[in-house]
Amino acid sequence: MELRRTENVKLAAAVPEACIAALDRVIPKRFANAIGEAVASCGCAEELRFRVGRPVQIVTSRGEILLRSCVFSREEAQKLLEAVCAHSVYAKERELIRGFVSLPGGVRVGVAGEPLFENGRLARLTTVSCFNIRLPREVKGCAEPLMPLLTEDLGFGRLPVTSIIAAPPGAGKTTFLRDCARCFSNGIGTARPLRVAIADERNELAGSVSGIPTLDVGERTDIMAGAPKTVSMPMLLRSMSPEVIVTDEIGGEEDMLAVAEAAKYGAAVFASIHAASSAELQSKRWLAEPIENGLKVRILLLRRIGGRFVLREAEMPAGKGITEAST
Amino acid sequence: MIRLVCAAGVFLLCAAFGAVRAEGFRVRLRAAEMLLSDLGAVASSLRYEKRTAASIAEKLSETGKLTAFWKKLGQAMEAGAGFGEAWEECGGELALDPAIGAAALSFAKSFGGGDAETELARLEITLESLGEAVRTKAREYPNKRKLTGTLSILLGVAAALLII
Repeated sequence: MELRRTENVKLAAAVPEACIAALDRVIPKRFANAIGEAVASCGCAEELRFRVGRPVQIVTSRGEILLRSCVFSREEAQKLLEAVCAHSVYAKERELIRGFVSLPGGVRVGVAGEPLFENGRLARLTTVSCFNIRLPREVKGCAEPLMPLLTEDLGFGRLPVTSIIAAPPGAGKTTFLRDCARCFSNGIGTARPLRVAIADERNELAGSVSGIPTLDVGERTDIMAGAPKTVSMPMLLRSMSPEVIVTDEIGGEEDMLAVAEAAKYGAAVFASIHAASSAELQSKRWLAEPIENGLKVRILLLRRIGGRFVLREAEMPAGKGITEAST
Repeated sequence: MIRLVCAAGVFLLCAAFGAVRAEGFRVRLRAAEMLLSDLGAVASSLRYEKRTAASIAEKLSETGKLTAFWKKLGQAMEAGAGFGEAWEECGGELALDPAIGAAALSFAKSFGGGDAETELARLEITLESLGEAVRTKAREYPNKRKLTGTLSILLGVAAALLII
C-alpha cells in the first residue's frame, strides 16, 4: 500500500485554565514555584513526574528537566494521593486499580506502587510512590488539514469514515482526537455539522467537570465520561443517536468489538490505539479480526515530526474491511 | 430593703446559672446524638455510594441533622482543605463534649486517606465508641441536670442568707 502523508500546521499547545486550577489543588506547594519557573523557561509541559526519594521530573515538548533541589518525600506522596483523590482515596479505588485517576480539566494522573492481590486479583494499591501527571494540550485546528484523510465523499458531500489512529505514547493521539470531535461537531471539513458523542473513559478528551466539558469538543457533542467504552458506546448509540463516536485508546478485544458494533449501527467511530508502527498493529490479532470479518475502517499512523502532525495509512494485511483513503 | 432585693437578685442569678449549665448539658448531648446520626449516614454513603468526602458533606448539608456544620465543612473542603483540616476548622461549632469531640476529630483527621474497607472499619469503631459515650452521657444527663439545678439553688439560698 502506498503511504500518503499530510502535513499539519505547527502545533501550538495551550494548557487549559481548568487544568491549571486542578494542578493548583494537588501539586505540593513546596514545588509549585520551582515547577512554574521551569515550565515557563522551557515551554509547554506535557508531564510532571513525582517519584518518592527522587527529584521531580518535568517532561516538555523540548525534552526533560530534573528539579534536583525538589526531592519528593513519602509524606508528600501520601498528601498528593489524597489531593488527587479529592481527599477520598476510598472513592477512587477502582480508578487506582486501573492505574490512573482523572482530574477536572482533562488532567490524568497515572500511579504506580505496591499492589495487593486477593484471590489472585488486584485488590488495591497499598502504597503509591510514583505519579505521572499528564497535562492535556488543546491545539485547536490541528486536525483541520487532515480532515480529507478522515472523511469520504459518499454522494452527500464529505462525511467521516471509521478510523483508528495509531501512535506511540505521548504522540498526541488524544489532542488530535479532541480536535477531530470539534471539527465534526462544528462542520469543519465535512458536508455539514454532525452529532458527535464522546465515550470518554479517562475523562481526558473533554476534561468534563460535573458532565460539562472544559475543553473545546464542539457545539454538538455529547459526552459520557468515566465509564468503560464497552458500556458507554452502546449507551450513547441508544440514547443520543450520534453520527460520530470518538473514543480514546482501545486496548483489547472487548474494546474493538464495541467499536465494530458501533460502526455496524451506522456511526463513524474514531478511536486511538497504542502502536508505533504497522508491524505493531499487525501483531494485534484482536485488531485484525473484525477487519477481516468486514469492518470498514481506516487505520492511520499519527506522528509528531518537528512540531507537526503527520498522518499516513498503516500497512495492514489486505482484508476486505480496509478502505482506501483519498486526500 | 436593699439587702432583700440584693439577696433575691443573687438567688435568681445562681438559679439562672444552674439552668444555663443544665441547658448546656442538653445541647451537648443533642449535638452528640445528631453527630452520631450523621456519621451513620457517612457510613451508608461509604458502603453503598462511594461518594467523595466533599460530596458526603454536600449531601449532609441538605439532608443531615447538623446542616450548618456540614455546609461549612464542605466550603472549607472546596477551598482545598482535607476532611481532617476542614473538621479542625469547623469542629468547634459543634459544641460537643470534649471527650466526644476529641474522638470525632481523631476519626476525621485520617478520613479520606485509606481504602474503603479501612475507612469503613475505622468509622464503625468510631461509631461504636461514640455511641457508647453518648449513651453514657444520656444516662448521666438527668442526674447532672438535677444536681446542677439543686446545687445552684442551694448556692443561691446560701448567698441570699449571707446577704440578709
